[in-house]
Amino acid sequence: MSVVTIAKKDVQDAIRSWRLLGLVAAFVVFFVGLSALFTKVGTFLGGELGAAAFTAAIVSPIGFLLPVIGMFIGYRSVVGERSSGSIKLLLSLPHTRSDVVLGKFLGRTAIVSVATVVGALAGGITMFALGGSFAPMDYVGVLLLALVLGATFVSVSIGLSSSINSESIVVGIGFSLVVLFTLVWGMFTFGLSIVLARYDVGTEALRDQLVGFIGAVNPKSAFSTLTSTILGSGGAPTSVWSEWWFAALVLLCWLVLPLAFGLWRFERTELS
Amino acid sequence: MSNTPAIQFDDVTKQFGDVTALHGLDLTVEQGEIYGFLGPNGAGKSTAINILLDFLPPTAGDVTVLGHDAQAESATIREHIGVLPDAFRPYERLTGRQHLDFAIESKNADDDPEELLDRVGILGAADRKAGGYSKGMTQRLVLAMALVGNPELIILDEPSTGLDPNGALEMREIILEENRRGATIFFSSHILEQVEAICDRVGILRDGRLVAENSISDLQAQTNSESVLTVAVSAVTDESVAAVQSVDGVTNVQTTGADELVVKLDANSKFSVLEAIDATGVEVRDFDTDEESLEDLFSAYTNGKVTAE
Repeated sequence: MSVVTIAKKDVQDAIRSWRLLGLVAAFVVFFVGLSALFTKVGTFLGGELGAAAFTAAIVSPIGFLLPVIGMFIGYRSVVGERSSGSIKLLLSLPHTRSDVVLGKFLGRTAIVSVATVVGALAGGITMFALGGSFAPMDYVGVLLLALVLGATFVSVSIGLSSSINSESIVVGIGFSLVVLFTLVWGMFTFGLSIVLARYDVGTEALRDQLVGFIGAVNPKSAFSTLTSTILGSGGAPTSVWSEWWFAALVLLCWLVLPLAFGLWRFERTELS
Repeated sequence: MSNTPAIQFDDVTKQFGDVTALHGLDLTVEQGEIYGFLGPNGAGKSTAINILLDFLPPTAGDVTVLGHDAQAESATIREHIGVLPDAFRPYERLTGRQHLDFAIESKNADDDPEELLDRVGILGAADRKAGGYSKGMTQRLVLAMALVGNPELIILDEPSTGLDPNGALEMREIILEENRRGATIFFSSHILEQVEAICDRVGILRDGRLVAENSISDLQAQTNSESVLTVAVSAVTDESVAAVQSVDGVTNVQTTGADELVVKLDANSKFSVLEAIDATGVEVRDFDTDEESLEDLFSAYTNGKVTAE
């Protein structure tokens, strides 16, 4: 009950600060814009791009947008209350510290999810109204995965926010992780494969396995693998690391472990 | 249950690195009393309260609140207490009413938010964001939150911070009302005047040790007799002068100018005098006392001029 009370207060706060509305607006613009653009391009090309194409096209931007927003929405959640001192009000009431961390996670995940769903609905309606064709079941599947990806990065941001008592360090680590996972991971694994090959580490098969594994433990790669599975694109898995169940496991770990780490750290933190 | 102490510190030590904030603190607050926890800034008062609330673990020793272990059963404890913490900030974007709703829901209580806001005198600001409140209004808001659910124990850390003299008087009235209802009150202050009029007992903390624990009149009897209170008022009226003269313990009243009263009195009568002035419709703007300060009391205790019983 405590968890829900705290989550509710957080959502209220997001409504009051226009943060929720701003987020909904951003997602609506994103989805409606993409679907309108997509239909127009399809018409311009003198034919339809095919039912699955739109859903496939939004996967990559979603894989960038949700990590950024999940991080943005959660990074101040606990450390901000510590630096302002409102944490003392919160913990003077009968809430445990785990209630606080889990309540924050629930509230912030709800905020990101509501904005994503509203945006996706608006995008779907636009697509439908403009007469574009798309496959609703694929769309819903990708949307559900997008919600999990959002929750995953909320977990990372709240894990950091509960573990570190410095807003600037939380921001620094948090957004570095987002950049690392969404933009430079491919470069990183590529570089790693070159270095490993240059120094002749292990056998070539071992190197491939290692690089494949490191490439796959990125939550965004896991999201891409799972969407490909849903959309039936991407071909057969090349190794165990590109199997859908491994991707699901990776995403689950990123969803649970950062939050668990944050809970563990915050439970032992001295507040004053 | 009634024999269980409201608060018990048993040989509690707290170290921050090399710094020892509390040295084997022993302190017992009985149920139903008003206990003033006095000490200069930095004496360890907030550290002790932070341990009570499980914001900090003690390095050694045990703390119980209402018979529950402060570390292991903190959430249970906080169901039964109300807290006005020190150095907090409200949720800037939530209104006063939303703060109260949050406290009521958190405690599974059924209080009426408006009634509580009215009681602390900020009902008119109920639907304004707390970020726009003055320090005094914030203090009142959080006092209202502390009253939610008729707590058995109310812990107030420097409650009069940011309050004007009238606000401090109203705070005192609420504390007394809650105590009459049966609540134990534990409050810390570095200002002697705030505690002397209402506390049953006071403990004086200095450098992390309890250097004296006594009833306030005993403390004063050991150290001081008469003091002078200077009160700035909106206007000096015959009625207010007469009201002050009739207060027990007042030996002399003089006026200086049109807006100041100088009262010689027994140190215990100070708040009665301020109330008497207030009751005649004259506004108390400020007051000051030349009485022996708490600092003097501390040095008296630590220089061995007087000895705690």
